[in-house]
Amino acid sequence: MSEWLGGLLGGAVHEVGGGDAVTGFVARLLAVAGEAPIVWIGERLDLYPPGLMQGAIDPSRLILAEAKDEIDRLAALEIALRGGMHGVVMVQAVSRLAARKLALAARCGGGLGLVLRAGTASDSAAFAARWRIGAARSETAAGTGPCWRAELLYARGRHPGVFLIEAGDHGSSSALMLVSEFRGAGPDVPRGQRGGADGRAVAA
Amino acid sequence: MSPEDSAAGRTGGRLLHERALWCHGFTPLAALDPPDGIVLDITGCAHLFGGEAGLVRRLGAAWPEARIAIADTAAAAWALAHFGPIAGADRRTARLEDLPLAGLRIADATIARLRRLGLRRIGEVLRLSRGEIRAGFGADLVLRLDRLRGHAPEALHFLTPPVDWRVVGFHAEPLFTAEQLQAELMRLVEALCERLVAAESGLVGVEAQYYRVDARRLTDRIGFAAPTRDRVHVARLLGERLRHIDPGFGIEAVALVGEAAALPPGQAELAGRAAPDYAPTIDRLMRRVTLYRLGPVATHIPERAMRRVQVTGSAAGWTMPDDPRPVRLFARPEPIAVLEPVPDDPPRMIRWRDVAYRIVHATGPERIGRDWWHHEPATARPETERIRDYYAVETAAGERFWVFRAGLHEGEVAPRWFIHGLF
Repeated sequence: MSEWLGGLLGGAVHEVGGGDAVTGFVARLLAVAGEAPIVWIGERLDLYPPGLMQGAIDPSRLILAEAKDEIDRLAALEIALRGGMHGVVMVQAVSRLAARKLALAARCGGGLGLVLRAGTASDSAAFAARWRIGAARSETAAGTGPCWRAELLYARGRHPGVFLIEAGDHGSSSALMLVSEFRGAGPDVPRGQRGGADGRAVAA
Repeated sequence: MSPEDSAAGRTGGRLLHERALWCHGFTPLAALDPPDGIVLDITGCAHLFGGEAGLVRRLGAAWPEARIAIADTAAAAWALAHFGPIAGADRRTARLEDLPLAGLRIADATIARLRRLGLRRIGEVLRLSRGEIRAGFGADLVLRLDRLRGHAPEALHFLTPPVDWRVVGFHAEPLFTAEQLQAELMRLVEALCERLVAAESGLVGVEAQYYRVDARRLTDRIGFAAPTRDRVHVARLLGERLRHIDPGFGIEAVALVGEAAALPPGQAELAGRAAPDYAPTIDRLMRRVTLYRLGPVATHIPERAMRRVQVTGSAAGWTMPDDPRPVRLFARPEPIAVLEPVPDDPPRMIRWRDVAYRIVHATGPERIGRDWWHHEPATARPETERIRDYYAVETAAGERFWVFRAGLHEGEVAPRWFIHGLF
């Protein structure tokens, strides 16, 4: 399993930023988080269930929610988290108050909430973790799944770091496998640098 | 007495059932006569609608395509409706006697035998003695003739009218404030849920209707993910929308119209929290956002492989695809410019939204053709142009795209490249 996540996933809300690679990462994070239904909230969604299935989410667990208004989207995530579901919301940015409400709801319900922000990062400490996700070249030979360079900008009770993460085998429980970690390195580790002096390989 | 509805082409059992229920507006006794008939017992009802002629006029206005007949017995009405003169309130048995033998609803073999004896009309059979008929054709024909004349009873399965899940509260003094309306809703929900408990049913949907003093009606409809009779839950969901209800000069009546489904008394209290119940959460979500699920469609065309299903429905049935599939799929593939040094090879460079990407690795091709067996052969565009070769490509920076080439190099039109999804 993905021990490197270190208990970040239960009853917590994470903020995730990044480009197009975010969706695949988030799907696999949810696959690791547990069996509850997943509510994916956005203004307009273009999720593709067969791809999510390869990302280890059963599409029949997935409920899609669309709303124009950002307030409605955040409220929907709060309702879902309070009801014990996992939730993903795609918004521009989150206010401190909204972040606090989401964190409380997640603690009540025990699910994992993920806020995919397109705009500026929040300065709220209510999030259990803040990620910045980018695409990364795969380490291994041809035919493997996607890789991500995940910067853990902030995590409650642990060091931030930069991780190189690979998608696990289809259908396996280890949807996210840590390839290497740059512990303590700031968010500006150059791209493409692999397994430096401080990096360590972990078998999932 | 039976108006017959031979709605040509629209003979679904459900439609028939709906129409039969609609007939409860004329008489409490309506029975189905599948596949396309409805039998109404209008004894003592016709005078309410201007006599039998008036009743037939009303039914005819509602269903112009129906053949309607009124007679003294259900069997006679059936025969008249199916074989009699079109429409009309003729209920004289004299007309019945002119009808062909098929109006007796007897087996074709019996009809053939009667014809061989020179009997072609019902009247000619009616003139025979009972003994002769019984000896020659059996008791069944005797029974049919008796039913036609009303000498033998005919069992009809009349529909039970659906239960009316409606509660109303009237107020001589109009309601204005949200608190008043909330209290009224709570009272009505209590009343409705009490009836639901007695009937072992639960609400699958409910509509709150607010009647204002200026004769306007405001409605608020909610659906439930699973049948419920939890009064707090229902009242809360209805109460959430109260701020959108404009009372104007006051609301003088509030009605709740429920739609119910069977909900046997459960043992939720005893079972504890073994299986979490997400239905109330889904109900609350439905009030804020548009909810749906994605169900599978059996096709190879990637963009058509999914369809929206209701959130209360099931999205099961997905199978693990053998080839890589993206997590995001564009509704419309976006054109890209490519650099492909070797035909039929994956591209080396692609340019998408004015950004150039160097491709370092590609998986494919996976060839997906159009489901040509569903389409007329197109003359304007060759079929080869619709063939897609999909590649999952990885760029130098690690981005993963799902791109395809539409068309073949040896085709008449140069192939074009598109990006269809992101991994």
